[in-house]
Amino acid sequence: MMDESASANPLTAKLRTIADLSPRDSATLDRLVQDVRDIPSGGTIIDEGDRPTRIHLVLAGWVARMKYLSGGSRQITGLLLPGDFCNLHATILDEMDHSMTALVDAKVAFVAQDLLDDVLFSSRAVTRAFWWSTLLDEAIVRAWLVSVGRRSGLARVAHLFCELQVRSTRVGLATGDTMVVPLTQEQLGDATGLTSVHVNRMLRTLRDAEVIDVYRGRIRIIDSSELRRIAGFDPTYLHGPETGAGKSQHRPRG
Amino acid sequence: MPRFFFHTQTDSRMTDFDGYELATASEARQQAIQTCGQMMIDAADAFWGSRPWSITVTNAEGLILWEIIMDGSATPASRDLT
Repeated sequence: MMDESASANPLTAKLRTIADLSPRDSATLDRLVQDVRDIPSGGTIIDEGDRPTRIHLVLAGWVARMKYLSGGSRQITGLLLPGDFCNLHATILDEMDHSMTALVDAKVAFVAQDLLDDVLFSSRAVTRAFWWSTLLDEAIVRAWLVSVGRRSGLARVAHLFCELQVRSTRVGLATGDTMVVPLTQEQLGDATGLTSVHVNRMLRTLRDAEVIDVYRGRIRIIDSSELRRIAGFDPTYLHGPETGAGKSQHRPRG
Repeated sequence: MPRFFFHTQTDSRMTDFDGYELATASEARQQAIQTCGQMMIDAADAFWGSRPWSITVTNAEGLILWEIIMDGSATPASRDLT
């Protein structure tokens, strides 16, 4: 359902958020897209305990970082959109400490570490852009940690939607106020540490307040400023030009 | 307001440690049923592959109040259908 955006390299679109990439850089990045595999919805790209031999770059669809607990429950610790790497330097590690699962039918590029290294050091702009991407991944994990630790259920769900809108827009998956969010309420719960019932309630609260509209895999943000207010969303951590001017004003000093 | 706990079993198990406050018991039951409805809408294929699913509602003392069970059955006539 997201194939319309898979034509251009989403990695280039994402890195262009901050990097001034030359046509040559863009062509170099396209070299990563050789070994493209279709992963069906629910399919595993790499499992906990597997030895990573390739780097995975999402080209289409959504992928979740999953951690399974011994009691049969699970936590989603990251959502990967087109243009996101599953683990940029995974081959350095001996064994995966979590799994990567496709949440919808996905296209994933499998990249050899040597090829990645060639691309990574091909130009200063590309090297810096990859560092930005890695730091961005860490910043998102920090934001999720704050959500699970300190935000109310309503703010957690609202915050995730605010983040996804910025990230989706960067890779062309959001049109205006509407974005594709192919998450079930259960998966939303797994990503925010809430039960399905709690998520169901929070979605209804946001819908009844006419802040968002949810329909079959898509979310329309009706009142963006209200959604951001509920979430306490400060987009600074997404480190892009769209984070807006005057963002330092409401940061407490001292 | 009384606190209710909603434990779900699908292809994964989720234990509700925090619970959720609702004004009345009937509201808690209604909430569980509506969540079940949305779960089936969200993931009809996953449901068929991992049924039965359930939501168990308990009170603050841990006593089970209701169990909403979602299940289905296939007959031999459906064997060759996708």
